Amino acid sequence: MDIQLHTDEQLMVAIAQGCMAEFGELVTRHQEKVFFLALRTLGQWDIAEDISQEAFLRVYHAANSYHPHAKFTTWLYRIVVNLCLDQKRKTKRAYTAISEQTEQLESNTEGDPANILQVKENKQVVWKAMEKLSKRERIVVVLHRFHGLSHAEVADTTGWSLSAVESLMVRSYRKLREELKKFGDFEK
Amino acid sequence: MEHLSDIKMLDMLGGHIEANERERYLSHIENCADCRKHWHDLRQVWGVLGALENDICSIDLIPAVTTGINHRRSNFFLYARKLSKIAASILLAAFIGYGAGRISMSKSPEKLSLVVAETSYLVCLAPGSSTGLAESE
Repeated sequence: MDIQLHTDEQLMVAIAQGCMAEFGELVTRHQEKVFFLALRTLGQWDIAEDISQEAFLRVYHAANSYHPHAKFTTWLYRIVVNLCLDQKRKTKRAYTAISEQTEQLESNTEGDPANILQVKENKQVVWKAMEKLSKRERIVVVLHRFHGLSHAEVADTTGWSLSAVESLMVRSYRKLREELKKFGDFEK
Repeated sequence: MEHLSDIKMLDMLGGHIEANERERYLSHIENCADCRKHWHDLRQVWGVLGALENDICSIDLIPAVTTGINHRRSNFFLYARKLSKIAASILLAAFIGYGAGRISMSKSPEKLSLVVAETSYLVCLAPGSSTGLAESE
């Protein structure tokens, strides 16, 4: 069977037996999500890249002891979240850096240059608003808004209590609203 | 119906609420000014955050991760080699010490008996004595 049709859990079984092709498929499948989770949490490109690599190395080395109790992505994202939390960096400085360097990220917007410029400006506004959140608040928002997890799934992924996630989520969206209000247009 | 919580609204925005429940919530929002205002605000935040949704990056982690795996493998062997060298040195030192002790003891049996006597005397340590040793009565 084509390895692209394998589930993540099937790939993990093959990786435990030393199959590198399956590992390559797993990395290809999840690298972008993992990278964006780290980038949006820490706001620094090179650190996000290091964390993504480290996360996949941990997946590889833990393949033998992996038991699919939960979804593979829950386990994978938890590795990334823990690595991000361990990262002792001045996130504010890092975020300023990324909000000024959004050209590193391409957008799949086409055509009208005015539209492209608008998208770029909007992105900077969002990065600047995200800058104001704590690391935990950002993790919650990123998992919920960009990784499509419900608040219960966010709690599963992070290992934090449901009530903690709920209050983090409410607080961070309120903060974001206040921050975004400062950049006009929002109230229209 | 009570006001909708932020969490319910956020899960609704994320598409995590079942269709019939969603309908019920939406009809409440329609009729409740407070919830309607709140829902409008959250939808706006949700929409603005969407600016990052279209980000794409042509990142390829496979070469770096593969290098990392090989590097750790070679590091492991390097570490294992170092560890085995240390273990071998300790074993060799212990063996030489033991051999040398045996030889020197076999050469002078009276020295051996003196060491045995001293050791058995030292075993009877008395905490109250000035020397720390048991004093003969």
